[in-house]
Amino acid sequence: MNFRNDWAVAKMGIKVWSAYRFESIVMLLTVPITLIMYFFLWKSIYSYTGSDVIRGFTFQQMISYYVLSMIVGFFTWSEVDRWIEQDLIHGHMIGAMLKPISFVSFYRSFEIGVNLMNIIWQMIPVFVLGFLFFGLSIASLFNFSAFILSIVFAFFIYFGLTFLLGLSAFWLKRITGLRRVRRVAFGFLGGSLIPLNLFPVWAQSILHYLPFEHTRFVPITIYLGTLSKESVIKALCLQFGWVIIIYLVISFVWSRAYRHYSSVGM
Amino acid sequence: MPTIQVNDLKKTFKVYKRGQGVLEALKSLFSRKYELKDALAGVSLSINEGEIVGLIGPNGAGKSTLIKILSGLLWPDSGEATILGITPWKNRIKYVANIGVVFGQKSQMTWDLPPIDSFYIDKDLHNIPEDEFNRRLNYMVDMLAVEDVMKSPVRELSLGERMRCEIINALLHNPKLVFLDEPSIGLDVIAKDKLRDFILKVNKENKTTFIVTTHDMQDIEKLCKRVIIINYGKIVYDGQLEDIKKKYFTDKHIEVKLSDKVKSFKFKGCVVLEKQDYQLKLELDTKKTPIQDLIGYLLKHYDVADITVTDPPIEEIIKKIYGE
Repeated sequence: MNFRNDWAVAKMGIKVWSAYRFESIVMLLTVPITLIMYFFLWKSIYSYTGSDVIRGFTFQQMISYYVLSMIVGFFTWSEVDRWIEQDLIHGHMIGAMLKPISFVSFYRSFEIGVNLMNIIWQMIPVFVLGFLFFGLSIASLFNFSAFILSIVFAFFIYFGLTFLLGLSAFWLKRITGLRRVRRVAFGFLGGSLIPLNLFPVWAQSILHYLPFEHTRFVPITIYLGTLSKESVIKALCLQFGWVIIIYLVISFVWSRAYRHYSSVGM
Repeated sequence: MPTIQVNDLKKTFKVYKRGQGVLEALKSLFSRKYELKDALAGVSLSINEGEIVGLIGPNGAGKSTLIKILSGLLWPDSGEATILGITPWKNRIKYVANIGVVFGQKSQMTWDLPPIDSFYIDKDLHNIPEDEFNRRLNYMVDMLAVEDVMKSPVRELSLGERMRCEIINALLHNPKLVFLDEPSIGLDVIAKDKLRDFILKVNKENKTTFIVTTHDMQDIEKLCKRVIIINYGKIVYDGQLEDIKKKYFTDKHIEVKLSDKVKSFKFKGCVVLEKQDYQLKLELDTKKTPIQDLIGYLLKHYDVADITVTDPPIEEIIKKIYGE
């Protein structure tokens, strides 16, 4: 990694984000609506079942879970598979390939630039919203620092897997369908739709062996403080392990993709 | 050591074929037929520092494939290349820091941002010092007249405006070697002239090596001493532009203005293209008769006011060579 180069490309991401700032600000409006929807959905579920705790979640914790899920989502968001697909189809790939920076660094730094703006414009407002209206509690210093580290890892895992899917476009050309599958997989298996605790135990034990929960569920539970200190450290180590594995796979697949690359017809 | 040393590059593409119609489209879901197309069938060449080489050939001859391999975008199937001491596809990142590439049909600048932003990204990525960057940028902006356009998003520029910015984008880091793939498409006559002057100047001042592909023979005549002609993935000619002219231009066009009215005219190896009262247009086959014989004859027997000798246009030769 070369931070000077990464920052140069990240600045480009910031500029592109700014070119479409209107869209991002409009997207911010959808967050309170989604949260209100979850609020009333779970309110009726809790009153219907008549219990105060469902699978270890009080109502307040459940709402906090969704607020945090939004926050983690802003941090880890990546559409790099779509960019790679588009760049391949429209022949813009040469722009990235003719820059003296590694292919994955180029796209990652660009994404970091975009996400930096998302964090400032979306994540922070949602945090404030959560504290003011949805009863989000302030985490302990240990949990909060672990949470920050965990979402950084979560970003690398989410980005890495999405990037790998993007590389498949070098062979498959169009991956629009696969991208939808990817989004559903991350949403359902990562825990942004419902907390993974609500899954049957056998399903949860399978999910522990997959990287998805590390992109959403793990950071949230770290913030909520339901894990012991040892479990938090173990979770962070596991995340880091996934980051290493994914980037090893990327460097292998990229070397293949580069050899396979052919933009015929120009 | 030459700047570019290439040995026996080969590249084959799979080209999928499918007939017309819905049935054919459905069939192609299960079995796709493809043909192998030899884009490059063994190309070897050597280019020295400071040369401007024109790479020409008919559509689909393999020019772009060659440029893409030489600029580190594609892997060849076999063959070797050492360019600026590096094999492009084996050490892409280090290699592309030393070259500049312009593809006339593809933009390398960020679509949603003004060119000036792309210039600054290159400044950072290539670590160009501020004052040097400003000096070079001002110079190029001035020469290519893009002052007004470089602050609008790339997607809003016309092709010609974009091309001029692409060229600045490719040259800002002062590369030793520059590939220009059809750099003059979309440019008007004045802009073309400016671009050619610019290339010649950069070449002279920095000893920058240029490889230019183009379909505009004016580009070739104005810029290149040496041309490489490629067809069916092979080099069919590699040498001085002048030598091609000598080899293929055995015909000369001669325009004679006379003070007297023209009587009949006949000379060995000479065809009268046009005859007016005070003017003759002739075509001479110099293999049969040297040009000085004809001129001597004209001066001796006619009252000559003016003689102009020209070559047929370069397009004529290229057509001949492509046809072979």
